[in-house]
Amino acid sequence: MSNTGKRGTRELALCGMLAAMAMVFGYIESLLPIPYPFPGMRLGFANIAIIAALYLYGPRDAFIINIIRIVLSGLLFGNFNTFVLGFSGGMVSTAVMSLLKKTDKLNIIAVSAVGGVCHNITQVAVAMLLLSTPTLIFMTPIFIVLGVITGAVCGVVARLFVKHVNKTA
Amino acid sequence: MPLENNVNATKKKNRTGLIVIIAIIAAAGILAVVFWLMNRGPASSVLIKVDGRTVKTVSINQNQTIKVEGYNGGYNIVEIHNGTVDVTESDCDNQICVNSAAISKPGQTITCIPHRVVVEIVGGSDGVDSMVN
Repeated sequence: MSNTGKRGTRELALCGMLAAMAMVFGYIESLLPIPYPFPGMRLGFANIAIIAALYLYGPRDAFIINIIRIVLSGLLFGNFNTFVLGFSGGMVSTAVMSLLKKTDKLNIIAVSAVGGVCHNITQVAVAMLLLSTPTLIFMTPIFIVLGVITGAVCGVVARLFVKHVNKTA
Repeated sequence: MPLENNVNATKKKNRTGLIVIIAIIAAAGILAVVFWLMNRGPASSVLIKVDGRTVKTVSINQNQTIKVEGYNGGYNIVEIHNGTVDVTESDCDNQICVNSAAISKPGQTITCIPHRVVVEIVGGSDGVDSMVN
């Protein structure tokens, strides 16, 4: 990676590609008629691009790509209420993952898993506020477990991706 | 030995990572048990909320079909049948409410985020029995 202060063309192109990848992953996932055991559950494959951006280029790019993804998906496929949930979950999880990466105490898989958990907990919390329904808190255990599993899977894929890009750099 | 240090650091991060993941799952398990203990009583009534306001409270033992008007338009059809509650139809864009399994225990909910609709089961005496007559 170049340290010239200005962004390398390669880096810029890859960031654009990651944003497109995040969008397409999110879209494909919404099309797949997978009979998830828990309604509302997502595999969160778009996160692979966000984690890859975080590890390849840092928090700033991860945030920018995630905001682009969430705003575009919200405009194209969403509704205001689902957008609020997606945005809050995405921002909190990216912030937490950035901090965890900075401490350098965990591997990428665990960072991604914690990110998944934070994403889901934030969404439940925002839904509780949005719908003024404290009862929704009873859903947290299952969403925590789902967040760990889907986050870890994304982390495994992101690790392969980052390794490969670093090798070809 | 910078390379060896690197390998050790990676090993340590992998181990800490695994511990964190196991700890989170254990915490979720404990939380699940606590929540289960909190909601053990029998179900008594069904609350239907739109944008946080309860628009209807009905007994869970009375079979009926209710059409709910969503916030900013749209509808959800709620069916109460033999003590279970299900959202059978909606014109929302993600259909998460329709795909949700039927619920029958206190504390359980079915949510339709696009319409800001929540169907909630409550137990004990805080339901319809004390409200109607």
